[in-house]
Amino acid sequence: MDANLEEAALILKSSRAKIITRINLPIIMPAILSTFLLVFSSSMSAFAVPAFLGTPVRFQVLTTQLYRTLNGLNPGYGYIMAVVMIVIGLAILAMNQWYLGKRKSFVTVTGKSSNFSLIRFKKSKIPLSVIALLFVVAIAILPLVTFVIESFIMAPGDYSFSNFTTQFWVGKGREDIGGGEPGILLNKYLYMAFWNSLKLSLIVAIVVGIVGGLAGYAIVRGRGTKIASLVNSLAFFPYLLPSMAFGAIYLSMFAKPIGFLPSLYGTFFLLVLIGSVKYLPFASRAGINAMLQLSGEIEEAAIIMGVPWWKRMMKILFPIQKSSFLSGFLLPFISCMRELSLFVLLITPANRVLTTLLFQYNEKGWNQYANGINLLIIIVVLLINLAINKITGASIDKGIGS
Amino acid sequence: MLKIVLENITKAFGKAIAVKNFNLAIEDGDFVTLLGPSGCGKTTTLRMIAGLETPTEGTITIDGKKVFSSKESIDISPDKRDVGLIFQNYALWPHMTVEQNIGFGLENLKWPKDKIASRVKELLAMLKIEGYQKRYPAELSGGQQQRVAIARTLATGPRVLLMDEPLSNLDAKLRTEMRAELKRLHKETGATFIYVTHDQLEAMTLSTKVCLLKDGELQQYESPLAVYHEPANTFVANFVGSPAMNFLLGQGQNINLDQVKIETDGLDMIFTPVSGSVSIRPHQEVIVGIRPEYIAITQESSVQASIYSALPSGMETILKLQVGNHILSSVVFGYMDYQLDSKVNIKFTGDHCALFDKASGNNIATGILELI
Repeated sequence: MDANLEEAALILKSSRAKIITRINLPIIMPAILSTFLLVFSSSMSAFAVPAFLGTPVRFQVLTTQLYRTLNGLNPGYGYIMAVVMIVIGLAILAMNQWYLGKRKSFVTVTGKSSNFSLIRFKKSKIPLSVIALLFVVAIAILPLVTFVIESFIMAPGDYSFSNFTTQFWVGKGREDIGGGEPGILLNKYLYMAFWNSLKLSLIVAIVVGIVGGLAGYAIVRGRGTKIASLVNSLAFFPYLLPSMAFGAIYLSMFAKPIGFLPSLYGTFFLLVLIGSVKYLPFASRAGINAMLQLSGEIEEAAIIMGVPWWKRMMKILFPIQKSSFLSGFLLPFISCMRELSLFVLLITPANRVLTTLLFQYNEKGWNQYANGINLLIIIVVLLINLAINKITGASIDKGIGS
Repeated sequence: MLKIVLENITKAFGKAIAVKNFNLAIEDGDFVTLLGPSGCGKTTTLRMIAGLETPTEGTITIDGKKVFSSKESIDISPDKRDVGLIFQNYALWPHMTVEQNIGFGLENLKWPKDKIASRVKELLAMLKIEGYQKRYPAELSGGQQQRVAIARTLATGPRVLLMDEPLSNLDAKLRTEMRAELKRLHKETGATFIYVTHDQLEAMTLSTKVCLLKDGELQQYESPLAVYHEPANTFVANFVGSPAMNFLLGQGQNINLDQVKIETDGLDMIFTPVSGSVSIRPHQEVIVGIRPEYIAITQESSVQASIYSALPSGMETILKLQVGNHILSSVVFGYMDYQLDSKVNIKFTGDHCALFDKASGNNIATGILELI
């Protein structure tokens, strides 16, 4: 929002309160509402959080029920639930589109937010900073520390020194703990799952990154044509489907051979397939953004010199928008690394990934193992993001921003 | 002889028609400007010549070779048309240095490294940007970027240079400077220049021929002087020249074979064409066009006007004169300051006053206007 809009009101002698209620809020209302709807719909389709926190207190939601029924005796109920979820998700997004399309949508009112005025806190400066810092610590850092501590404690809740153990990290299997599972750093299932996760995320990222980049190129170059908007909608469509329901669809499609569809259930390829389709929207958005920032003339200048398409891509377009295109790889990679609900219905013991292993341990109540794995996932994701960021300057926010 | 011929070119974007049945022949070594207001189809025409846009109908021939023909389904790709194109926003590749930008096209033609280096050096000298070869485009001023863009386009030695409003992103002073450079460049390279602009002054000062477009249709295609002095219609007359031509609405009547009496609202005059005879219908609605420099302040006349406003700028003074119910603009040389509402006597001079038919807007004749 342009600060001038506020200043214009200030010049007309409006009070702060009036500026907020009469200027700021009405202008950003569509954005707030849109955020509300999107958060609502992503919470609707969330599986991991209700599964971890809700199950112990029997707080069931659609997704956890879907998982239970599909894994139990009544898969039919499960499929109905999946359909319900899809309908709800589409309805919410339709509402969002409808609202954004109305005349009162001011999303385009951006502009130079160069002039911001500082508010002097005077004496309250230090307390306010401390409160802000504490807030960040409480929501972001404390949970991490808790994971670390919890994974070293034998009996949960007992923080006496004698209760600390490295059993869950490097201990050999003991019959009385966790069904004889060795500590996670010695656990071959963990290494297998870790390798699977990495392999899956990498392949998905490469496939999606390339396809998404090309889709972005095609959509922007063909802007205004029917086929371009069709490709655009198709590439975005998977975003609208809740992950869990998406998994259910794939389960029903590939569990048994149907017509020309082969039975892919239990194959690694199926995971790559669903991951690629699900994350295509991220990559195609990143590709579209990258292309939109480039004027067509940059490419035409090379066309007129007779530079072939492949060389234009590799020598001109990609290098200029390197970071945007790369975020089209990075985003699917990281999402894939931490994805549970998409894969949980399709995983078989042979191709377990880190998140489903975590989920299994958690279901069995082996919290320390689960915490350890969780910590590992977080560290891997952070490290990879940091590494790519350092090497190429790409970051996740670049692709989806603006 | 390199000749570019456009025949019956039509370009439609969906239902909107950008260029309508357009014909143009450009001779070897010409400097042709495509001039018109925004949305008149001039950039589209340029891009069709370049091969970046596909005409809906028609034929384009460059140097005797058909590069596009809708009937014969010929559409030769841009790189095989031997044209260079300079873009409005330069389209320099931001991740390449100046020398890489200039040399890229040659690299693509598989020139040996040393030959590329010497050609780049030659171009840097020609466009007076020596010493900048290691810089990135973002580290250059607008004028320097412009020069790099021109050098990059000239590198491969195209015989036709297309330019799409190349000076519009520069400030006024730099623009004047670059105009002079472009005119020199035209001579030095001997290439054919086709230049798109909406700035009539650029078209007047640079080109050997001006092509005026309006709503995708050709209005006039002649030398700048002819366009200025014998505008084909009121649109051309109004578009070319600053301050704009004065238009007076009136009724005309032949008083003899080669003179017309025109009555406008409170101001009557006799029109004598230079070309000899003129005949119009009795009481035909006409428009008289007088360029500001042909309205002189003089004691020799008895026609009185009052000063509506005076805008002296040093070298010249633009006057707005109230004559009867008309407001006319006039340009006089030198610094003249007048009291508002003071009275002066005026007359029309020169033999380049124009008479237009009101209904069609077309030029009937040009000649001498005498106030009576």
